[in-house]
Amino acid sequence: MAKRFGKKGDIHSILWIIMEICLVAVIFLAFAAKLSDFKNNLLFDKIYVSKDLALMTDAVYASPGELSYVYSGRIKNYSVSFDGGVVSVFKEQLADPQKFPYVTDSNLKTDFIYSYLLVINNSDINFKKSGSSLVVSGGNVTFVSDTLACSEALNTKFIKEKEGMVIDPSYSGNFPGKDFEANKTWILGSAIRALMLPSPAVLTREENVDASVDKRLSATEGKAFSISLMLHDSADVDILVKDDSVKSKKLACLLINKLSEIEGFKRGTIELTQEPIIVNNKADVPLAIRFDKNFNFADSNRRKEFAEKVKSALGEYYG
Amino acid sequence: MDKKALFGFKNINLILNFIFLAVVVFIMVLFFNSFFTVSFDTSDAEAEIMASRILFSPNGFTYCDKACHPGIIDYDIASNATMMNERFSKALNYTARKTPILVFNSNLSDSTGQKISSTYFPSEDEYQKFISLSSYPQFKHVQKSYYVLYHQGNSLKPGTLAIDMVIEVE
Repeated sequence: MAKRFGKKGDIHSILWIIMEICLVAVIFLAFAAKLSDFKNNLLFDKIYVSKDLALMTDAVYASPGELSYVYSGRIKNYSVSFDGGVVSVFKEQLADPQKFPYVTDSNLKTDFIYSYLLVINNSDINFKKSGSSLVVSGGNVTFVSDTLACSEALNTKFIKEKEGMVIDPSYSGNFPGKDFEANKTWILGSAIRALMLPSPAVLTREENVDASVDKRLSATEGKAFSISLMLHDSADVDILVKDDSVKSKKLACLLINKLSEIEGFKRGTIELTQEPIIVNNKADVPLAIRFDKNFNFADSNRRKEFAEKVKSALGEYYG
Repeated sequence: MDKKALFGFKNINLILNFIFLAVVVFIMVLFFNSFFTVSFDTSDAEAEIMASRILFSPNGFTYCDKACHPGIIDYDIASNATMMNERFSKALNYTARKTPILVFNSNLSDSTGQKISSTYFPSEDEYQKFISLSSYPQFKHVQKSYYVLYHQGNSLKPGTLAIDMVIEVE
């Protein structure tokens, strides 16, 4: 070819070879992910788990009376979500879900309050149908369908408006107070701040410095997204979030998924509310992390782990 | 052929070569992809579960007073299209789909085989439409017949409930 067409022919030949190499590379990359999944039986496993769980959910709905069933099987290190009539199965990364639909029953839906991605680590899933509710729980956290679609919330993209994050330990009174229960939130808040300084987190309370709750939160109003730390007694972690804010829901999903990775955490919930989230009867925040009052606050490693998970979620939120 | 013409010919040739290569690669991808398709047929299970749900769920045909009685059919529901539609449109909520994936015709007969009610969900038109599609692989046509007791007035009577159902399967 070079002899027939001379130098221009050479250039064309080289161009042709480059294009061929590019094409092969593109095809190889497209296949590589699929081949990897295929090699690890991921495709089959994900299809199996999604179909099995969806059919299981349908069967539970079909049962004539109260029912409690423990589903234990091939669910190992998968994440599963039950959102809007669809079971989605993920492997480690929350991407490329395998989906299979199930048919919900509106007669039971009224008692479905929470929904988010369920991280399952070698554990069972419990289906419990009683009265007018169906609760699916297991892994590290408990899921109750069908209000908040975390897969949707996590994929929501938006323009970032507020650069900072206010973390407010919502105890009342001065620090150091006499009330150890109240000081727990400060302790955790400090741990989070220590990891996140200098930005974007701002802790509203310093040691020996205090202000009223409305002053604390209004000081950064309009500049930062405020979350509040509270104590709770019904779950390891419970996130209370405003129903009308897509951004808050996304952050709630990120937080619950990260916090559910903490070893020993058995339950976590996201609670949507249309009511103001009131801190100490005064200020209103878009999101509150309420954690179990029996959390081992004395263990610095435990505090650090909690703080790291919060940091990691906030990091993902801010991209 | 002068040099300019030769150059133009070569460019066109190059493009054609590239298109041909792309087509060949695309066919190869389709070919290999057909081997990677990993799935298994659960249509029978889906249909069985749905039939059980229609029959045994407290929000299906099951007669309920203070408690629900699986296997006992509520005659009022089975014989009244409006009540049945109201009940099943709540009980079968296809939140993941915009259109229903299930239609059925239920026929309740007494112990002599005399048909005493025939109702359609969601409507006879929808049912006929799905029946005409049932030869396609994404639809499953299932016919079930159960010996039942039906609750009519204050008495229980033996009978047969036949369900002719078309379900869209994944």
